[in-house]
This record gives sequence, structure tokens and C-alpha cells, in this order.
Amino acid sequence: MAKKVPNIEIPSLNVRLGGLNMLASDSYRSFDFIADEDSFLPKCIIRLDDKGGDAFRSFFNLSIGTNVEVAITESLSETERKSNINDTSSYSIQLTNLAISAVYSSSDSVGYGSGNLELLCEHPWAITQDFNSHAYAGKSNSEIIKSLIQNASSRGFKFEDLDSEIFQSTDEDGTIPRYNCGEGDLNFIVNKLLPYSTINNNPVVFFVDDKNNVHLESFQSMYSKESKLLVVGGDEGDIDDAMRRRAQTLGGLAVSTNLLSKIGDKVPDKYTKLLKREISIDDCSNLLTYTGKLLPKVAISKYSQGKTSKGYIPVSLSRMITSDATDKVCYTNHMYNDLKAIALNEQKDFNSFFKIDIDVSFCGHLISVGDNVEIKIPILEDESGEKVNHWMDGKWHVKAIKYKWDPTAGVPGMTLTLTRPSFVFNSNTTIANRDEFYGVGMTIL
Amino acid sequence: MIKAHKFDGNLKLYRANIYANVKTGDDRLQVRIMPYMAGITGEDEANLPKYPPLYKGHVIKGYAEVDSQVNDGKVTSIFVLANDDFTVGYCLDPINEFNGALNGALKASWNYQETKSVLQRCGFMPQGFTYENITCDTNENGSLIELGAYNQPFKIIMTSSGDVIGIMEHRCFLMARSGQSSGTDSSYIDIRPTKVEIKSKVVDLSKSDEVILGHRGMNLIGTFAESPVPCEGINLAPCKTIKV
Repeated sequence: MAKKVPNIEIPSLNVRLGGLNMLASDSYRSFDFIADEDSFLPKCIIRLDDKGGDAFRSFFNLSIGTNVEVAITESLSETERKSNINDTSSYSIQLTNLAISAVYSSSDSVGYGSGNLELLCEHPWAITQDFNSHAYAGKSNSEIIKSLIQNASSRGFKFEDLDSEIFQSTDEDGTIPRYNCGEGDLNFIVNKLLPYSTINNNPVVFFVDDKNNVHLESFQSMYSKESKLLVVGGDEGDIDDAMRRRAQTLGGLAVSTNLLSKIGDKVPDKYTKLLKREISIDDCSNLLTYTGKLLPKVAISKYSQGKTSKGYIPVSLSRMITSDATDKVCYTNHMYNDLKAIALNEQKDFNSFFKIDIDVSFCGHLISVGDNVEIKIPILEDESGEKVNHWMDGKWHVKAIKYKWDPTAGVPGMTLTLTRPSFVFNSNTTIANRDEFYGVGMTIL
Repeated sequence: MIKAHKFDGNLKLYRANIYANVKTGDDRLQVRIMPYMAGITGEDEANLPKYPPLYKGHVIKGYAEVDSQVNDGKVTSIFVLANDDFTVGYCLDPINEFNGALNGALKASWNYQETKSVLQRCGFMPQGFTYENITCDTNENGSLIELGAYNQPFKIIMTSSGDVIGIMEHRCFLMARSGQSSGTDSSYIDIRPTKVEIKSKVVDLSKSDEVILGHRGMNLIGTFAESPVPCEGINLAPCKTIKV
């Protein structure tokens, strides 16, 4: 069922500590609420003015574990808000509840000081885990994860409802037992289940998003969903009618104000190792070794404003043709199916081969981590004067969201981290030399 | 901060208690890796890992947790080699107690002096039978010992009752005994290249259809008499230790 989208035009940041205090917005020095697929759980850093050191002295509601609630509300609809007091979803979004995990204070004297107070807030799961031991057999890894996260017996909280669209079943048949030896249920999931889990033979992604929804999906399944937002590069003046129509179809529009794009990584072999990896899987059950090349199994979208031809990555084709292998890895001393899953999951990084950090106007009521957005950069002209689309146009995956407080503007803003594994070539993009790029094991969704 | 898993394909050495000796036809042991699996209880115990012996053809058994009530609470600890998820592992042999790298002798050492005196009483004392030479395997409760030497050709299997099977160059020895002290009821067969020595209170060949004691093809005459019997002018003296 489609979720109701609240009406938020001029957002306001609201924070409660311990269910009581609402910090005055003018006391924020900064506010960064970060949800990232790679770090599994959201976290938040709040920096406050505490000029007289009063808050730190009294330590009121600053204990480790104190509940931190963050809501973004519509600030102009005060009347409407009052009239719909029991339906906060119409004017407000609630971010994942966190808890204080550390408090820092700095001042220029012990007694009074100039007063900076910094609160590091983590998801409650990062603070209290379930340390009971269990031995599981006959269940897929997704079933084990589900039973763990819906259990609150020794952790004090649980995730109530799981959405089957974003919490999917994994491939395992349960013949390989799993042992949780009291390492904490989240650590157990991350270290002993996820590496051996696949969904339709694709790597899995597990995280709690910015709205406290638990995701267990493959990048491929996430990326196959429709975009929820059109992000226009430039400013308000660059938005044309076509963009408005497209935004209406998708569900919303945001304007980007700043962009940092990265292809590859400063550690050169982070991605290149995965391009043509030679793997050896030693099957200790049958005393056999299987060797072969494992190419990235990545996915790109059909949709990119026109006809899609094929996915390519900006790696020199000639270099790849002359290279027999870019890495060699031996997988040993696990069951064959586990080793296969590990090899597949190690390819997951490749889904972030292209990465963009983009500042946008507040759109947290429209998208969450795990969704897709569509980028549209105003049409350019090539050397011959022909109108072409920027290669960045099209669908991108929202890997991370940072909600942040802009003390100057006085409104919350957002930074999206967008990823995808490859170019999406259309007939009329700014890329002129596509034949020089390497096309590797791509799956066109 | 939760960190993503990094694959480790190495096997590591762990101590494990035998949870169950797996049933007929399955040479694996079900084990509880300590202390990691100490908290696994109830129905989950059925899912404790079952590992095969490390070496093919080698079978390991011991006192199991599930039988501890009938074994006076004894549970055998063994070494296992397992991966970091415990999804693959192999069983090694029972573990010695560790009393310190320098201090304290190993409490459960085999009884060299008693073993040596048993062999001396048997007259089956291999060359080089010194404590420093001898390799030894004992079963869990010490009731059976298997001895060899890394530098001498002999192998001896002995029970705590003093029963002995031994082999050395040019000699095989087999002895069974009962009773508390030396000499009480014992029988042996001592085979050498030129001689077989059999000693027993009774040598019973009754299960054999034919017993041949010479080369002349003559039959032994039997008698119930305890003293010589005259026959055709000669006395036939009974051989009282051979009964037919």
C-alpha cells in the first residue's frame, strides 16, 4: 500500500531529548542525521550552543541511552497542524528514533566556559543488542534475521512491521547451520548471515533507513523500482515544463545546489580488482576445487530518458582486453554454497562505482535511503550544436541521506549520496567515445 | 560502529566438549565449542555442529554430554579445527590438561613402571623399552594402552588387567591374565621363528577336528585309567595331561 506523503514545503527541525525537551532551533550549531546503507544503522551528531555550560552542568536528559526523537514538520501550516493534531503524518515525518551514545562538551574554563555541547546519537540497536546464543538450522538467513529483529526480549525494542517489498527472502535452503555464540544479534547478522546471503544470486544489502524501516534487498531489486523524485541540476530557473511533468509522474521535484561526483576510488584496486576476478572455490565436502572468472553482476535501469543500449564503465577497453585477470582470490574452509555467496557479495562494492554527493532542497518526505531518484541536467549542446543529454541524466540509487541543519537559512537541508554501477548510454548523450569503454557482465533490468 | 564482515578462510583450533557420539553409520561427533557455544541450550542443542574426524579412517569417541548422567558427569574434551562461523570443522583427539608451561607434571601420564613390570613378568620386553623412546595412546579412562617406539620395531597393546598383545622383530606374543597379582591365572602364546611356546592351565583343542602331534601317522590310544594298563605283555602308560 502506498504510504501517505505529508505536505512539507517549508520544513522545520524538531528534536526531543528523553521525550521532554525540544531544543530551540537557534541553539543548533550543526545537526547531521546520517543514514547510509554501508553503516547499517542511522546516526546523528548534534552540536549545540551551551554558552553558560548550563546544559552540561545539569546533565538533564543527556544520559547515555536517552531517547532522541527527530521530526521534520511543516512550519507554515500551523493552523492545519492544530486541526489535524491526531494525524501528524499529514504535516510531519518522523526520522528513526535514536539514543544518546556520547556527550562532548568544550569550553574555555571548567566552571563556565563558552559552551559547545556535542551529542553523538546512535540507533538503539548500536547500544543494546541481544546477546543470547542460538544454533539455527532449517531456516533461510532472511528467516533468522526476521526472527531476531522482531524479538525484543533482551534488547528493549523491536521492529514492529516488516514490509515484504523491502525485506525480501534470501536464497539459502537452511541446510547450513548458523551459530550465534553470544556476539550480539546485530553483529551476528552482519558477520555470520549477510556474507552468506543472496537474493536471486545477487549480493544482499541490509540496513535500517532514515524512517526506521528494515531493508533486506539486493541492489538489483532496489534499483529496479521506479524513481520517486526528479532532481534537477541547476536552479529554479532551469526547470522547464517537461521536467515539471516528469516530476509530477514520479512524485516530487528537488533542486540540486551542489554536486560532488566520483568515479572509481582513491584506492585504485577497490573496483578494478572486481572487474575480472579469478576465483577458486574449494569445496571441502567433495574435495573438489572450482576455478573460474567472476565478473561483476551489476544492474542498470532500462529507463534513462530514451532508448538504452548497453551499460559500460569508464575503464579502458584495451587495458581490459589485454589483462587476463585483475585479481585472484581463493575461498576455503566453508561450505560450497557459503563460498559462492561470499564471492558474490564481495562484488557489492561495484554498485557504487559511480557516486555523486548532491545537496538538494528538503525532500525527506518524498524519499528514503534505498529509493531511486532521477537526475535531470538541463540539455546541453555538443560541438556540432546538437542538443545532448548529460551522461549523468537518469536513474540513480539513493545509498545515503544526510539531513542537516543550515544555521544560515534556518531550515533543514539534505545531502544525497547517489550511486550506480555503470553509464547508461543513450543515443544522444555527452559521451562521444563509448566504444573505448569496457562493457562488463551487465544485466539490463 | 558495526563493521562489515571480512572473509576468513582459515581454520582455527578450539576446545570442544563432545555433546553426542553420533549414531551408527556416522563417524562424526556432535560437539559444543567452548566457551562460544556454552550458552546454546534447549532445542537449539540439536543443532550443535557435527564434525568428522580430521583424518580419514580415524574414529573418535568419548564421554558425551547427553550421556553425562550415566557417566558420572564425565565429558570428554577434544580439540576441533573449525572456521570462524563454525559451519565447517574437524575433530581431533582428546585434550590433555595443561598444568603450566614449566610448573607441574602432567597428571594423567601413563604408568610406565607398572607397564614395564607387566612386560617383564611376561618375558616380553622389547629392546629400547625406555620411557624416553616410547610413544603411547591410551583410551579415555586409561583401561587400554597402545605402545610403540619411534626408533624400535615393536608394538604392544595392553589392558589395565595385564592382557598383552605384542609384536616385535621375530616374535609375536599374546597373553591373557586375570587376578590381582602376577602369576594368577594367565595363559600365553609366544611365537618365534623356530618355536611356539604355549602356556596355560588348559590347552583345549576340542574345537579342532584333528590334532596332529607327530609325523608317523599313528593314532593316540585313549584310556580312562589313571595308572598303566597291561596289554599284550607291555604296559600302556596313560598320558594324563592329554585328554581326548
